[in-house]
Amino acid sequence: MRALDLKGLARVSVFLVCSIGGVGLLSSCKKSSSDPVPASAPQFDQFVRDLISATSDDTDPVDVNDREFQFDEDPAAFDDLFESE
Amino acid sequence: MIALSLLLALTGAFPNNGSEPSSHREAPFVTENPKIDATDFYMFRSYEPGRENMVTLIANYLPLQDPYGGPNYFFMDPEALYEIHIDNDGDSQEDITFQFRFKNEIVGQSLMIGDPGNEVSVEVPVINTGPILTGDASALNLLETYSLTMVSGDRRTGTKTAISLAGGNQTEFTKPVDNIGNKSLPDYEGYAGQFLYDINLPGTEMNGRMFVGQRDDPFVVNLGETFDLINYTDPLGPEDGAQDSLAGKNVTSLILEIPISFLTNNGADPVIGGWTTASLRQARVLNPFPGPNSKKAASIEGGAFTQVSRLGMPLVNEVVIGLSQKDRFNASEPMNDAQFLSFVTNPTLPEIIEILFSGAGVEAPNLFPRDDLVQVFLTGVPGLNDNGATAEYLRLNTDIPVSPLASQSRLGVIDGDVAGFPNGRRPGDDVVDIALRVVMGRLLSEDDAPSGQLDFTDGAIVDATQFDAQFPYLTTPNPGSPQPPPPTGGPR
Repeated sequence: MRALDLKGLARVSVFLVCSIGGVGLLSSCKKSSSDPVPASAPQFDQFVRDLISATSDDTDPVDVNDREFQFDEDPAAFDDLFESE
Repeated sequence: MIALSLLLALTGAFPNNGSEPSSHREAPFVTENPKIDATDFYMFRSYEPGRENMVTLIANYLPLQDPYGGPNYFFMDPEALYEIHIDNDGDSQEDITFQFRFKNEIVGQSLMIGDPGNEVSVEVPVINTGPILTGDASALNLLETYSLTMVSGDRRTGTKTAISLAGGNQTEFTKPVDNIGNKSLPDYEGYAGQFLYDINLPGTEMNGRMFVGQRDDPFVVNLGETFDLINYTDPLGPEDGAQDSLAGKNVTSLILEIPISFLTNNGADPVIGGWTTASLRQARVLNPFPGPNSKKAASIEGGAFTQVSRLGMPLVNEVVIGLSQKDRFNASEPMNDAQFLSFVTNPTLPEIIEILFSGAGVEAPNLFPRDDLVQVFLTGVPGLNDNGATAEYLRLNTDIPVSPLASQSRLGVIDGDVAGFPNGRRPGDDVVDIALRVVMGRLLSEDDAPSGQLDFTDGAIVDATQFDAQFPYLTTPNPGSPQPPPPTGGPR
């Protein structure tokens, strides 16, 4: 399972997301679904990375309707995801 | 317990179904992801003789499969979560969920190619290198397996139990390969029949049954004409005067047979609600350099499971829900269905039919809100299968006796067969014709529905005789070869 293969990455992201007051995707720092979305616009790449790091069969998806993303045009943004195995 | 006589008395008056059939490519997102596109959901007391104490649940996915779809054919999405949910206490939320997860494994068959003494091993490009026989599938180059998990309570946080083969601990099951063709699979049904499983169920000595695999699509509809401004030759004409647009197409079926007592919490409430959903991981990253195996797949997916397909009553999302709301409906849960109420209380389909056929004197019902349709879609029909919930899902009153195959009516309850749609749904229930008649006011007075007693039909007929008399009921998928003969005039 790819989710299991990404455990190391997940551990790293837990620290990053929580310490920078990130998008609250992870169980250790997850806000309730009624919490307001942070006003700061997250980088889309990092948002996706955080989602993948937080892969779980037991959680609910993150509401994205009120988020405004910033997009980088970096074709190598996710290369490490495929190098992690 | 509902007396059969009472139900029969109600059949001329109760507001029922109103929904529509089936759900092939009904919302924008699922057209991009056919592997998670739920097409039909069936739930009925098993009518195989001796199995009347069981309920059969069928969730069909991956529509419009052309049987010749090689070399990859129609494997399920190994990153998706396919579920069948049961509400057995009328609170519009799942109490039991059956979760299916799939895996693919490439065997890696190869051939030695080259001049004698200088041959190199080259991987073959196809999924089988010889006939696949009953008891000998060694020629198969891609194996598909699946697991089944039962969840008690909330689908994500409830108590999970891995379902195992009856009498053992095996929790990985084989899905038969699709019906490639008669040369590869000279006895498809014999081959596929090996993968019909008896399964353990937690907390009971009773077993269930399970089959997952390709089947001939049981849904019957004059599809092209329906969406071409209802371009029927005669919507009041012969009930068998048109072709089934899905004839020759296959579908992938997830089929369970579960004891009634297990689903109803030992009969605490005989009415159960059922529906199917499919979910994908919320995030997906495409791999610009896919590798040769699953560890370097074409995409990587992660995050929470996110529901993207939903199906209970037939055709709801297809012809009831507004165009802009279809993806939303597929992501929604029954407990939140009040948001879609206006599509039911003030439906557009009857008005469209009136507009198209006003020249023939057809009139839509003029009574609003359409409480008859609300009962069918959202609350259940009083005296038949209401359960206290306000939710769009298929309802089955398990106290109602089974109709044997020979006595089933394709029109179900509106024809006096209360074991049929909308009291659950059987493969032979002609939900298209039923829906057309009910939305036009079959259950209303003539004053409220001037055309309500007309026998609307799409002309594509289905009944119980078109299906097997025993589990898994759905029939052998159409083979990819040989091709049917060319049309008159020769090949193009």
